[in-house]
Amino acid sequence: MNDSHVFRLAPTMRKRFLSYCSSPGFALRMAAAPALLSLGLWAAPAQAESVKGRVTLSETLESGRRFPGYWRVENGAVPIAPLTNPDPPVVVMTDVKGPTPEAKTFSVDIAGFTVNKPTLLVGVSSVVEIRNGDKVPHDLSIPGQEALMPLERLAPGTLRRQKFPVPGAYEIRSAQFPHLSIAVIVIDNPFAAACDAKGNFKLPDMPEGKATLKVWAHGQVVHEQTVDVQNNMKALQIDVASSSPVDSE
Amino acid sequence: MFLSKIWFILVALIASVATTVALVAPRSASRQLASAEAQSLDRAQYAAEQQLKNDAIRWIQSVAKLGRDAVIAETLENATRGSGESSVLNETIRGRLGSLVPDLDSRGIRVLAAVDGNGRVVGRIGEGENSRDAELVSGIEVVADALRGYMSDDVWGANGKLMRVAAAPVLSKTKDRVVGAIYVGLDTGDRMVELWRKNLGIDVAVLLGGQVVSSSVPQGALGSLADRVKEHQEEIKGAHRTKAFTLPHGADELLAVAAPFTGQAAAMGAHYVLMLKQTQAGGPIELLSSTTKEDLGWAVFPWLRLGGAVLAIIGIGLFFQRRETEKPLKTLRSDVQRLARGEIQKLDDHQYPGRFGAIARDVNAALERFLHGDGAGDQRKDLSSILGDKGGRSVDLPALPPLGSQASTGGFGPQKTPGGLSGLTPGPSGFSNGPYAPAPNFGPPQGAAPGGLARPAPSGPMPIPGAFPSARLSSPPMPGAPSQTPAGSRPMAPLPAIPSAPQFGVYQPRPANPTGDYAASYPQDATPTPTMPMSTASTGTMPVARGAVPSVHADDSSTANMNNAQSGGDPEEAHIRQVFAEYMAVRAQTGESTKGLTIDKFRERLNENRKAIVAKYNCRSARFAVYVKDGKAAIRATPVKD
Repeated sequence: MNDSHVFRLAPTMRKRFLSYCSSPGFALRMAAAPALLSLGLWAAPAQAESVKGRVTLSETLESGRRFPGYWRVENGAVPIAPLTNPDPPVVVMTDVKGPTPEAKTFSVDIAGFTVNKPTLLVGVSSVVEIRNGDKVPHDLSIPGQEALMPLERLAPGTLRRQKFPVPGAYEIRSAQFPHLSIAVIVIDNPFAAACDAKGNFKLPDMPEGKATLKVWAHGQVVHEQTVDVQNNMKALQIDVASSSPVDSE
Repeated sequence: MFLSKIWFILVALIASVATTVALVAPRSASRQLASAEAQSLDRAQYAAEQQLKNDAIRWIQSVAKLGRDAVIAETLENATRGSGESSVLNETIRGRLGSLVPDLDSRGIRVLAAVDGNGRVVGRIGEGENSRDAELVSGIEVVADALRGYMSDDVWGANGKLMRVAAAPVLSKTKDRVVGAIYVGLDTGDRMVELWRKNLGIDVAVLLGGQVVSSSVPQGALGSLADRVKEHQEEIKGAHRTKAFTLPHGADELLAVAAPFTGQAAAMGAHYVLMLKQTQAGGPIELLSSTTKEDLGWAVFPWLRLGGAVLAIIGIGLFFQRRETEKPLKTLRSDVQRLARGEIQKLDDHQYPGRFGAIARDVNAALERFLHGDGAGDQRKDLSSILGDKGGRSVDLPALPPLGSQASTGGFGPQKTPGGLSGLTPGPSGFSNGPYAPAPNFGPPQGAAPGGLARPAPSGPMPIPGAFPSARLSSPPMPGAPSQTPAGSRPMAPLPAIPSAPQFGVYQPRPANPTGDYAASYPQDATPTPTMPMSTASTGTMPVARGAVPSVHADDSSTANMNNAQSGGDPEEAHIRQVFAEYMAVRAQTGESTKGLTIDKFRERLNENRKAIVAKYNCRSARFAVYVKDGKAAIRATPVKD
C-alpha cells in the first residue's frame, strides 16, 4: 500500500465532508467545542497517584532492642544473626480522604515473651484478639489510655479482645515486660503500609493534594511531615535520625 | 572628743560589719554547702552509674565465660537439635551451672539459666530452678540478642522486684554458630542498696513503678519520693538524671538525685535515688553550736591575734577617752575645786578641749553673774552649787535688817565724823616701823602716789581697795566707794584707833567719802582694826580708783591675814570682819544705808547663823560671802566641813 492512498478519501465522502464543514451547524458546533471540552475536563475525577519512598531508621531503632542496656557487644566469633521477628516501620497518610477500610478481627499470639504481629493496621471498629501462649500471665493495657484498655491480667492460654472504634495509633503493652507490645494503628483511609526489610514503602492510588505522612516504629511516631501528592512525584526519602518520638494527636 | 567619736564610730562600723557577716555568712555558707552537697551527689550518681556499667560488663563477661563451657555448649547444642531427653538436659545444665557457680547468694545471683538455640530454657538454678517446663523466652530482648550473637545486659522489673540481667551467647563446639545463651539475673534490691551505701557513703533508694522497693532509710519517711521523682520526668528524659532536689524526711531535709535504670525497667518507672541529709547551716547560733574543741585550739584559732586586736581596740578607745574626756574632766574638776577653794578666780577655758572649754566658759559666766549680780534674781546661782564645792551646801542668810532702822536701837546710828572717824589716831609716819608690819601677802602698796601718800590700810570694816589684787576688782564701781584723791591733795583721814593694839600708832588714812555716808560705816566704837602700815611719804589719799569695789573673797588670804591681825589671830573674827567690810561695801554700792550697822551686831548675827548652820549641817563651821541679791546686799553662808 502506497502512503499517498492512506489519507485519500473517496470523492463522495470528500464532497460530503466539505458540505458539512460549510454548513451552519458545523460552525455552531465548533464554537461550542471549547466550552464542552472544559466542562468535560472539570467533571472528570482527580487522577490517582502513587507515593513511594524509603524509610531509614537510626541505628538504635534498627537494633531490634527497644530498651537497650549499658552494653551490647558482639561475641567476636560468630556473625550477628538477623532479627527473627522484625518489626518494620509503618507509613500512614492522614488528612486525606479515602474509602474506610473494613472493620475486621485480628488475632495476635503471645509466645516466648513476644508477639507474632508487632504492628497491626486495622480499620475503624476493628477488634484485636490477643492470645497468651506463654506460661506466665501478662498484664496488658494501653498506657495512657487505660479508659480504652485498662490493665488486665491475661492468664496463660487465655484470650482478650479489644475493639478500636477511633482512628489513631495505640500500643498495647505488657506491664512486666515492656518490650512485649502490640502496635495497633487504626486508620480511616487505605493509605497506610508497612515498610519492607529495606524500608521501602508504596502507597498507591493516593489523590493529589496535601496529606500528612507519619512513620510509626517501635511503638511511637518517629517521623511526621506534610506531603504534596502530585503526578509523577519523586520517591520520598525519610531519614529518622533519632528515636525521639514526635508529638502526635 | 573628736577622735573618741571617730573611734567609736569606727568600732561600731566594724561591729556592724561583723554582725552583718555573722548573719549573712551562714546563708552564703548554706548555699555553698548545698551546692557542695549537690556536687557530692552528682559525683555519687556518676559513681553509681559507673558501678552499674562495670557490674554489667563484668557479669556479661562472666556469663560469656560460662557459655564457653564445653558441657553447657554441648548440652545446649543437643537441646537446640532436639536430641536428648529434656529432663536429662535440664539436670545436666543445672548440675553444670551449680558446679561452676556454687554459691549464688554470696554473689547476689537470683537466677542463672541456660537457653537453647530455639529460645527455650533448658535449665536454671536459683529462682524457679525446680521448674521442668522448657519455658520459651526467645522474645526477651536480652535473650534474643544473645541468640543473635550479642552479649548485652538489661534490667527487669517484675513482681515488685528489680533484677539486672546479663546474657551472652553459647557457641557450638566448632564456634560457627550460636547454639544457645546463658543469662544471669542479679539482685538489685537491698543488697545493691547496702553495697552502694557502703561504697558511696550516702543513702540509696530504689523505685519501681512509683513504689519504693528498697531503701537504706526507713521507707515510711520516703512517701513523697516517688512523686518528687515523677515531677522530674522531663528532666530525666533529657539528662538521664535529675538535679539535686530536696526531700522532706521527718524534721530534716534530704538532698536527692534520681536517675533511671536502663533496659526495660526504665519503661516501668525504675529509678535509683541517692540521698544525702542536707546540712542546715542556719544562723550564727547553729554554726557556733557545731563548733568543736579542735576549732578553738591554739593551733587553729588565732587567739593571740584576736586578743591583741581586742586589747588594741580597747586600748585605743581608752586612750582616746582618757585623752579627750577623762583628763580634761579631771583637770576641770581640779580647777573647779581650786576655784571653790578660792585658789583661782576663774577657769582658764583655753586649756580645756572641746566642750569642756565650753563648760569652763559657762562656769566663768555663771561666776561672773554670781559675783556681779547682773542677772535676774531667778538666774542667780549659788556659787558653791555651781562649783560643786565639797561643802555641798550654802545657805543664803536672811537679809540683815536695814541697818538704818536699827541704828537708833542697836547703836548703829550714824556717826558722822567730819574729816575722819573719831577715835582714829594718826599714827606715826613710819608705818613700816610699827610693830604691825604689813603682812607679806598684802604686798607692797599699790598705786602709791608719787607724792608719797600712804594708801589706806585695808582695815576690817573698811573695804580698802589696796588690800586686794587689782585683778579681782571686777565689780563695777561702787557708788559709795571712796573716790580717788589726787596725790598730795588731801591727807588720809586717820583710822580709828585700835584699842587692843594702841601701840600700833600707825597712821591709817581714810578714803575720802564725798557723801559722808561712808564715814558712817566706820563706827567710832569699831573693833580694833589693824591699820595698814603706810608710807609716811604718802599723801594719805586712796590711790585706788574711785568706785573700785573690792570683790572680796572670804578666803582671800591677804584679807584673812589682815583681819587676823585685827582680830588678834582669831580667824573667825577675822572672817567676820572681812565679811562685814564686804557687806558694808556692797551695801554702799547698792545704795543701801549702812547707818546703825555695827560690827558687834553683825558678828552676833553671823555667829547665830553659823551656829544654826553647824547644827543643821553638822559641819565644823560656816563661811560667809557677800553678794548682791535683788539689788541688795546679801550674805550667803556655806558650811565648812573640813
